Amino acid sequence: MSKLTISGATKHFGGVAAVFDVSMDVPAGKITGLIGPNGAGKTTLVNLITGVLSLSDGSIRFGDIDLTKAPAHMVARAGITRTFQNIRLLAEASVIDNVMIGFHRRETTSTIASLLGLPAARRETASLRQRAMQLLERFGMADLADHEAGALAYGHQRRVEMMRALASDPALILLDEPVAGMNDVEAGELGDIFLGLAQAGMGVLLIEHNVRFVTRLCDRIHVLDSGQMIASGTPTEVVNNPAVISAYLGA
Amino acid sequence: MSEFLTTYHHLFNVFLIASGYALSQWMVMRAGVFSVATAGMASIGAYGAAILTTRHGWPYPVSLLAATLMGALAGLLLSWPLARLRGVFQAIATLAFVQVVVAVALYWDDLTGGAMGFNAIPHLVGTFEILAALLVVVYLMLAMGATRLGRAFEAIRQNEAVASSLGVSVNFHQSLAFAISGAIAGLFGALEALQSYALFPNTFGFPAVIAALSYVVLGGRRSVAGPIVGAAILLVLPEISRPLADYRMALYGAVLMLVIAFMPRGIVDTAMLALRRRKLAQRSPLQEGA
Repeated sequence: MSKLTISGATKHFGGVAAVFDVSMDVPAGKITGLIGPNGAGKTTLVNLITGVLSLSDGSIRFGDIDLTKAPAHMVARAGITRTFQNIRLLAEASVIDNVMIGFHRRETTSTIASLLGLPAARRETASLRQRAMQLLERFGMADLADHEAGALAYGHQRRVEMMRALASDPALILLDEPVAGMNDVEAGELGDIFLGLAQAGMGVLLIEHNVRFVTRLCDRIHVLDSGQMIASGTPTEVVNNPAVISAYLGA
Repeated sequence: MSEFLTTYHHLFNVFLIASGYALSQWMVMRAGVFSVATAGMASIGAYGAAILTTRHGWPYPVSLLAATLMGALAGLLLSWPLARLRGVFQAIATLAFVQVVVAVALYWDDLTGGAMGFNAIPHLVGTFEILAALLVVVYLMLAMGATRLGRAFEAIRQNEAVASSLGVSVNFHQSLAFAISGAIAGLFGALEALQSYALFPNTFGFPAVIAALSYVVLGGRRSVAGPIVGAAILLVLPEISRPLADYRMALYGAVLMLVIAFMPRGIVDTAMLALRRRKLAQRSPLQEGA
């Protein structure tokens, strides 16, 4: 299984180092946590990994693939999928269409076959629709398949984003504050889904504010503050680290 | 119906060609590109086909094919520098392209006949050929919309960040959209040339840009029927409002503004959305507001 390796990642915005010399691993089959106060650089780090931003210095590898300079769609094609801190759906599209776009990475229909509407292209579309329906059923949302995604309640929208990420069948998933705005019961349900993904062999990087949630799920936790890694370790080590307490938990 | 078609035969041809331009405009907007290059690419196809048939004696089907390829190539070349631009900047850059094509058609007299126009084009296509071309394009757009490409375009149009985070290459699909849009524009430019005896540079100028955009804005950006309905309404409107004489264009503008204000998705897309919502509400009356 592939491991994500970040070495010496640095990103300057003008004179400001939003992320400075950050190194960490995200192994397969485990949930790795990334926490830090607001403005610590967590989302910048996610944007660097996913190719939305380019590194000023350092490197990012996924298994044998060098992703240091890869654009966003190539990172996705390498098997890394993300969810967004503020939910981003195709608001005008139906729930099922939102999930189906997740399959894009694995689609085999050629451009010409799609343009001509050849039977092979239509068959693939039909089978993807079926698989999307199965995902919807697993998440208890089959009734909402034809509803406009943008009109759904917040919790449902989160689930659509999660299903879409799963549809892309990633080897590694980056979850940017996935339980923000959820109550403990909803967060707990999602947490169990994340544990299931890790047990199935997927690498999970969980970016969170909610320390209790992170300590329950993660094998290892990394703490960012002002763009630098100030601590790494097991949940117990990190929670008792004096630097972490003063930077983040101490308030 | 047949009497109507005889009386309004010319208007019907104009409508078919306008539908082609509307679909060319729709194609790029569908992929999230705010290009207005359709008029320029149509001009290239029109002059290309006129020159090939009139001066070089090419049979008209071959000229049509060549014009389609010229349009596609123009679109592809254009997509390259435009990949870094977004939104209104793409609009301005493609508007500049349209003006360049108009200027070339005006001043390269030897090739295009300049301001006097390119004359004596043999009248080689009629309603049948234009209708056949439109049906082929409509089929391709429907087929594409129902399969992989349609999903990718739709994702890019609605949210580029989401599309690329799922492995959809924005550059590839937008270049493809430009090429397809150019091919459609080139084909219908050529059809217009081969049914109208003469070509003038300003036929493909700023008014053509606005017309193509208006068809899509009025009809809708999502469904294939949208731009065609938009073209039909905007072409028939001046005809039925003839009694208004000088105020015809005011009516045209008012209709456009009302639709933009109250149906920002366009007439067809708004109607389809309303139908879908009603169907869903009937199926599960309690689901709404959950």
